[in-house]
Amino acid sequence: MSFENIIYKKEGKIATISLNRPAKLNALNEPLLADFDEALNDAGEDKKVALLIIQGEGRAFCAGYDASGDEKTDPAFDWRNKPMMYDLYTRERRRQDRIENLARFPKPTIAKIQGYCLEAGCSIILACDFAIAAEDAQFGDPSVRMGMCTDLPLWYYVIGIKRAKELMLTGRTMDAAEAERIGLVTKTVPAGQIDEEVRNLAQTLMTSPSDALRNNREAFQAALEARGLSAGFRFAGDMRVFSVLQRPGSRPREFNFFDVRDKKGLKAAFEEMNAPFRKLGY
Amino acid sequence: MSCIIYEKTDEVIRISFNRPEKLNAVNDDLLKEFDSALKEAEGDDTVTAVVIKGSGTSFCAGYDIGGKGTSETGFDFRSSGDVAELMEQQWRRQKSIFNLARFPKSTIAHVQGYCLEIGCSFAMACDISFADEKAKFGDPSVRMGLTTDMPLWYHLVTHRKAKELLFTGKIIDGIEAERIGIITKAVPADQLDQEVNEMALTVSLTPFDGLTNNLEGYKTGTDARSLAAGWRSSADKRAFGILQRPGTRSGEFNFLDVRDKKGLKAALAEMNAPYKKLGY
Repeated sequence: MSFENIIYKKEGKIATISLNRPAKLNALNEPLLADFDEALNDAGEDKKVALLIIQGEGRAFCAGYDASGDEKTDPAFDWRNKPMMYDLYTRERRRQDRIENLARFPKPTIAKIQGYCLEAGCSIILACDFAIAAEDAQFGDPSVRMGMCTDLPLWYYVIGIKRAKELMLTGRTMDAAEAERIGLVTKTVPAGQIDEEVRNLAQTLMTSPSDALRNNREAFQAALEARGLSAGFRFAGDMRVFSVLQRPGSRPREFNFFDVRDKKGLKAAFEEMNAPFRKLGY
Repeated sequence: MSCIIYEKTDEVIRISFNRPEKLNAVNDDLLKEFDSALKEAEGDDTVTAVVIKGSGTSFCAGYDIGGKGTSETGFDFRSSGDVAELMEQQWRRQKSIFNLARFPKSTIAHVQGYCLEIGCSFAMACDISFADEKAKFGDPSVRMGLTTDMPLWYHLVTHRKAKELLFTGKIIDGIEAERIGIITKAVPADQLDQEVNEMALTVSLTPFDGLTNNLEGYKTGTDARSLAAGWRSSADKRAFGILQRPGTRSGEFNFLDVRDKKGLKAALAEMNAPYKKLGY
């Protein structure tokens, strides 16, 4: 199997998906997600694969969904296109299903993170069993600053309600040391040691009988679903739909991400979006 | 596609189970084709009503238990499948049903003849179900030592009725199924087509976005009432049901052994005979 936007490898019992748009900090667009879904499905079904590693090419893991608005991104993401309700729900469900599928993946999953890990990048690592970060990694979800709603449920399951609220409602980013301290990642190591750390963890996991791993993981996942994880995904999807319909930024004096982006470009729009928060230390 | 027929008019998409000589018993191929038919119907935003039906005399008699090569190997507890494989098979099966239950358009079941086990799950997963008064509903899994797909049963039917049906494997007719809420309405056989068609046309009149919001609200609400977790726990129990080797205690009926010796029909008759004597 060969893909344009990811690198998919199987070596021994380990499958690796590398997000491969390094020039765009592995921002996710529709073709990349189609590749990702296909590889994830293959790794799940291939009986020879015992474990999955997800990583990013270049200096970042994943900077989130591609906000450039180019033709390879989802037009429904921009509320000015007046998307139909049905399309919005379908896209949100698909987005949430992807993260749920990863959380329910039948084999152990390890995310290897360096550089930016924002928004949808965080959703991916939240859904993995393990997340090993390099010291230079940066985590967060700035969706709220664009007027959008984030993928909530895994945040509050993994790091707790108070911490999740602080991150979601301020849109701030944090470094890898803090991410380890609050439990967003399993472990933070110096960049030079991350490959060895991930390899060692993978070997450790494959030392246990696969049926035992499966039973333990299923019990864990079932308990989370009984605590409402699945419904949480649906509610978060609904809120994302509503946040598109509610036309963020259309109140006077509020920052309008899409308009600024189209006038001044993506980079300038991010700077303008973040500047007032930075002044306040966020 | 051979196990599924997909038809489309301006107002309605019809998806038919198409193994009429096997009373539309579900095998791996049928499940796979059903999943892709649903995907196609979801992507088609010109039609809001989807009818689910069966070719021939029955809607769906349940999972294909005819023997090897027709059903998933994990069904046979005598084969030494590993836990991971079993769980995956069960989860895949549940996924087809809950994809239908969560389907973002209005689904209408058209039920005649047998509607058993997974067939019943499909009929219950549809938003609206119409049936021939003489159709037969139930899930005899327990009589084979297996576990059923539970969650829709206890969401649609009272606990008392669901337990009675699932723990005894009792089969009821369309009129009773309407009375206890498994289906929307039972009608005489010759009125079934018209009833389903009129409902499909009615659904197609509603504004798409309005209908979508109503469906999503309902389906998210039932997920929040733990329907989603119910699927998982019932898939787990189905996997355990297979691992627990039903029928291996002495004196217990061993469905698979009898089937392999005497054939499917004889095995079902032998399985049901002692229940029938007791009125079930």
